[in-house]
Amino acid sequence: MAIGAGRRVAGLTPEETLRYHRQIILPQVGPAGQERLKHASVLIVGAGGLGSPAALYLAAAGVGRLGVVDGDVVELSNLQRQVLHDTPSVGRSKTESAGRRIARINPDVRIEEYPVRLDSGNAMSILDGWDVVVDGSDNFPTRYLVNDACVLLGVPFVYGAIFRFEGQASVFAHGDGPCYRCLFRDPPPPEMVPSCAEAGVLGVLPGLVGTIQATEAIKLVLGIGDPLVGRLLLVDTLAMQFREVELRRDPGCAVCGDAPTITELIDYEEFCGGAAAPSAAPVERPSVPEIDVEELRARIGVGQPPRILDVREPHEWRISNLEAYGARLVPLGQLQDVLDELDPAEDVVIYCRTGHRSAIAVQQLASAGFEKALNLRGGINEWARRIDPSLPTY
Amino acid sequence: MIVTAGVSGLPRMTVHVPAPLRELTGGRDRLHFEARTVDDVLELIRETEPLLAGRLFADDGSVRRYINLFLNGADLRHLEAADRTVSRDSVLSIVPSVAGG
Repeated sequence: MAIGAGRRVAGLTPEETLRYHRQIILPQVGPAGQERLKHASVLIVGAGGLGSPAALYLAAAGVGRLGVVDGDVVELSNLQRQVLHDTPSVGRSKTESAGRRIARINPDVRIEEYPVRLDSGNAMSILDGWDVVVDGSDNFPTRYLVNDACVLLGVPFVYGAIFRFEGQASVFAHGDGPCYRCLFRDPPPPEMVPSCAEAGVLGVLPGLVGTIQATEAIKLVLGIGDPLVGRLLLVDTLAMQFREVELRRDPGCAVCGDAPTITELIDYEEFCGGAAAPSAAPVERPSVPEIDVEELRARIGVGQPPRILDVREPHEWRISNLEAYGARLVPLGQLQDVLDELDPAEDVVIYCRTGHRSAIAVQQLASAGFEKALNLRGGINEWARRIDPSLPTY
Repeated sequence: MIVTAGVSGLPRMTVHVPAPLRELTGGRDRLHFEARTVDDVLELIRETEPLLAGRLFADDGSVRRYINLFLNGADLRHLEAADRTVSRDSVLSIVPSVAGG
């Protein structure tokens, strides 16, 4: 049924009826559903890659109250995927940038900005009172924090996470369904946590996953369809495959199980072992022997210089490299294949972009009997900053 | 690149390796094993993919709790013995926790 712009429908103004017309004519939404959206509230944790499309679509769809939590400022390197922000917003707080953009898309949306990093001290008060939470955070402590707070508050949350070309989405803490801890009881050790800054991410991927999150949030508000409760959607954009796996609530879950041991928020930085690095910050490295860039430069100039291995990918090598000092490109995934070409007694210095992958490489070499392998602290970006400014950083 | 392992004559199933773990398989996103049960597949992973196995399994042999394994979409932790048989179409999905946003 087409609804004329001049006719008032239920509690919607004529302008709202026109704005949301394509949605209102859906039998599953209708005027009552649109009103429900108007009176609904959704909190978005993280105004980054996932939070951007989620916020845009939820605002456009007419969710009446939107909250945005993010303590960061907009950086130029965000703009490849964080479509909520634009070039003039670089340097501004993300929540302010998000608020301005949302207001331009839909001035009827009430926006609440929380320009803070979510932590155990503020999470319960910030997350309380929302109909749905969308988790678009970028680090494990915040993910466990959002999970626990939502379980304790009884607020369902839409989970999304991305890595390179792949993503995950689900709905947690909804009814009798599982929570994030039911799926991942323990956080990974910090040394196994490459960030998007380190590993890269296809810009459109969070667009895809964040849009799925917005879709689920709208479904939850409207009470329509089959939400991703008890299901984990796996998105692989290279294969362009969507698969799903079945999730169950874990009766032994520490927070939503039959006998929960977590009844209030804990110290999530400690719980995750220091894995709190946001995507733009350095990640904690495996504890391996290191050398800093000045020491390496000094050693290159005298005696027997160390063998230098670059464990990045060929396209990164083309951006910058230490070939002038004899560096050899051996991508991390091929390191095991060249072990017999290396001398365990020889000094080896390994570098990557910032030192994370090279730390893994040093670990792998150490376990293969190479006791003199060293990780170049800060990677080639640090070399570019302190030794050779003619090299680009990336 | 495809790697086949196992004993011929048994169903050849597929293991999906997610992006965060591909550095442990030389970049391969699919592994193929010939096996009768998913437990045989796990054993073959231990034998032929030590780097991947090191990431998947704790010292006591259990799957680490920040990684989940799903056989045809069902969590291995909940699978009864009768459901652990693999067929030619079986897919073992490795699902690690990722935090990117």
